[in-house]
Amino acid sequence: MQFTRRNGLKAAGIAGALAAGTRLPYGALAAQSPIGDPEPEGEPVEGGEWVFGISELPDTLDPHKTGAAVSDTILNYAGDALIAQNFDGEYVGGVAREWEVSEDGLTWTFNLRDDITFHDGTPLTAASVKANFDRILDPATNSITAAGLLGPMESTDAPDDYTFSFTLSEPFTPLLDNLTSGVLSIASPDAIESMGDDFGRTPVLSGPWMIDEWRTGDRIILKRNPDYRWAPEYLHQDGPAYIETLVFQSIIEEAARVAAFEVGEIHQTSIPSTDIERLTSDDNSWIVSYDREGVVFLEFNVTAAPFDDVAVRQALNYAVNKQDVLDAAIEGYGQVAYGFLSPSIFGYWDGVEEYAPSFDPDRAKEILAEAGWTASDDGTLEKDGNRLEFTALNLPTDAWNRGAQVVQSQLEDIGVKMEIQQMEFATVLEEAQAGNHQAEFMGYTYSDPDIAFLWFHSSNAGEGLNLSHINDPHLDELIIAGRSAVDLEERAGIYAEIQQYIIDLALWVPLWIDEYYVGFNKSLHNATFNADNRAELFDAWID
Amino acid sequence: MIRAAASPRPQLENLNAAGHRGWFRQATRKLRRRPAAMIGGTIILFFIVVAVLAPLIAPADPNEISTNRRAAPSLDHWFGTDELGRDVLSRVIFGAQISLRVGLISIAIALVVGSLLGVTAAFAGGWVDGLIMRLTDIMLAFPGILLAIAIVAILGPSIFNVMIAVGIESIPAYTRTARASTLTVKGLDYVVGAQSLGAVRTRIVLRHILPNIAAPLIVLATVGVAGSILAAAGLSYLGLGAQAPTAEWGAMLSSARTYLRDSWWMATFPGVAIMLVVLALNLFGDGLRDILDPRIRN
Repeated sequence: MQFTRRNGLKAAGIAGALAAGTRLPYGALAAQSPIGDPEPEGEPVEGGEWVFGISELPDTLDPHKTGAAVSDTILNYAGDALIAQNFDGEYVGGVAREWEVSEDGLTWTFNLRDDITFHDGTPLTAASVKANFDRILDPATNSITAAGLLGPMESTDAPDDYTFSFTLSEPFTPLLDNLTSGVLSIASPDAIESMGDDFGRTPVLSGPWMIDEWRTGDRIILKRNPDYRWAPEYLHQDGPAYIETLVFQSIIEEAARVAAFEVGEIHQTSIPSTDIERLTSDDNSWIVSYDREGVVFLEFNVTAAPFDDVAVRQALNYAVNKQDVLDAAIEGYGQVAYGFLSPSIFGYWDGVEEYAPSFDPDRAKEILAEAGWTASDDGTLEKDGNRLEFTALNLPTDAWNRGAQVVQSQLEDIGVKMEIQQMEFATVLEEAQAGNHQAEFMGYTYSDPDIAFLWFHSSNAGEGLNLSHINDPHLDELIIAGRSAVDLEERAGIYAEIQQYIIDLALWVPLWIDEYYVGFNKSLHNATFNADNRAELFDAWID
Repeated sequence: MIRAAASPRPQLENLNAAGHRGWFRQATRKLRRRPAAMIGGTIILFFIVVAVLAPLIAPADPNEISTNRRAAPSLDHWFGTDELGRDVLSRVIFGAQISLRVGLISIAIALVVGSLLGVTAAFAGGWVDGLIMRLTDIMLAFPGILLAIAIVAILGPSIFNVMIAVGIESIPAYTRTARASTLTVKGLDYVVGAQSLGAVRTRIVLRHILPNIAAPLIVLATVGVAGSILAAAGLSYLGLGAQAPTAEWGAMLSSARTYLRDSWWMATFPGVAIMLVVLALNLFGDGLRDILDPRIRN
């Protein structure tokens, strides 16, 4: 879930959260743009309250257990991770002053700051970091997101008070970026111990704001940490944050949330495509846009008829007019997707636009005819008595619902009947993981091409996100090579090959890549939209 | 003696049958004198005609997508077009089919099952009565829509399951009414008479009880159809009912709500359709109750 979107993109939520904030310093980084006036005038003002409008509250705020992307956002404000990323996308010290990676890429050693205290007053030491990582790696913790971010981590060590190290079983390129995630913020081991289940409600971390209160079903309130002096180098060093209170207010209904934003009840929220035009001309708000790091797609279950036949999957790729889908679903605010990566993700292969099937219904019909499908009386294709019809699961999101209906009508034009079955995200995921489905509309947000591992590696079928249930040894090999390649050029080459291969297998009909819009109330000054598409508020103030 | 004993039976039946027909004729005549009920009846009739003739009178295919999205009402599209360029008038017309079908089928389920349970409870008495009525009490303890949501959640969202859910949710009202009426009628002379003449239970229920408890059940069902249309629209609004692209009024409202600010026609017309049908059924039901309620009648 890209932070404040409707629950439809919770799907993405999982993937997104798995490596929320994963963003590598190569490739074309989105501009880290100031929000509003580039050169704010006047002196910082202390105090005030900044209210985020979000579509849903987290499952838990226990950083090690949560699976919700919104938790990552909140924890980013409340916690400190080992590594931070400055506005130019470079990795700089966070809890760690500096770090070193052994030549084989397997051993990472961190030299920690010695001036950090948790919100409960206990000092942050190497032992605390080790306790955090050990808890994540402990299977009993049932970590949904954090454990995935650590990848093939084998063991941790704290040789002295301010030195922390860990060892991997194989090189894992996305790890550096993963270590900046909010869910890998270091929590107070004492608090974890003493608070029990309450720790998930108001976790004790060490960041610029402290999680003060969680009002069930309503809001989460963060208060400024007055003792905070250990901000990363690219933020101000002479004192705590300026804004006194951060509030995460849940308003599920999109229209109600936008209305609350317009009257100033909430100060920051995602803007649905249907309201963008109206709000960009609004004098009281700044609108910032960015491209989704990820894709929305129709995915086929290759173990279920009719999609066990690659010809059917390929034909459907020719049958969909993506521009039409994009226009209807999100009013054209986005771009057509060709492959499984979006251009904002490292490793995106330019050739994919040429290589991928383009809209050509005649070609679609031809492929199906060659595969033995003939028209029945009512126009639906059939073969050996089986009609070419299927049910696609869909999430209860307005935009996806519109997109799905356009796909439905386009498929009908070539004689393929698609039923849309709308279900809650958790149900869709469950059905798709069990392989009880034929197809589903899905989406992800992730910033590393290693997303291929999650969606297509055979080890992720069943429990994970390999919802197409593809089990292809060649693909598995490529994916593993991609995630352990250290040389960037080599890595990009591998992913270009994977992108081609996925198109050959036609596991998806990639549909669109959203352009997201976030609205900010103009009372905010000196905030910056950072590399994670998150508003960095430490240097910001409200008038 | 023997002849005398045989003769009252056909007489009783004739009397009863004649009374039944008279009841109906009387009711129709009285109904005509009630303008509100007549207006209600006319609107219902109108929607029934629209539903039946939908394929003939709808100007367009209700699911035909076009790029003419969210066009305001015009001569080409009297009710405008929706977010996928579909003709709203055609969708409202086809929606009448679905809404009326849901209303009738779900209430038919409730009426049949509920009456059966109610009559059984009243006739059997004892623990059977206790069991049925306690189950009914339990069901009544849940707010109706919540129960329906729970049922749909279990069965999965579809318009068919909505019919079942709304039907089940409505059962208790019919059970109670049928039981109360049966208890009243059961003690009346003609039933006792039939019993003492050796009529079997089934015959007594079918010939003597059901026709005489029909009035309150019919009133309840008329208003009930309105309630179930509303409940079904509500469930579809929540995404638990009709699946895209089905032109269901509640589902249309749901997808139109995003556009309320700038495309009023998308929500207004299906909304008005729901309002009219529900209002009409209530007016008609009220009229029926006035005529059929024995307290008012006497």
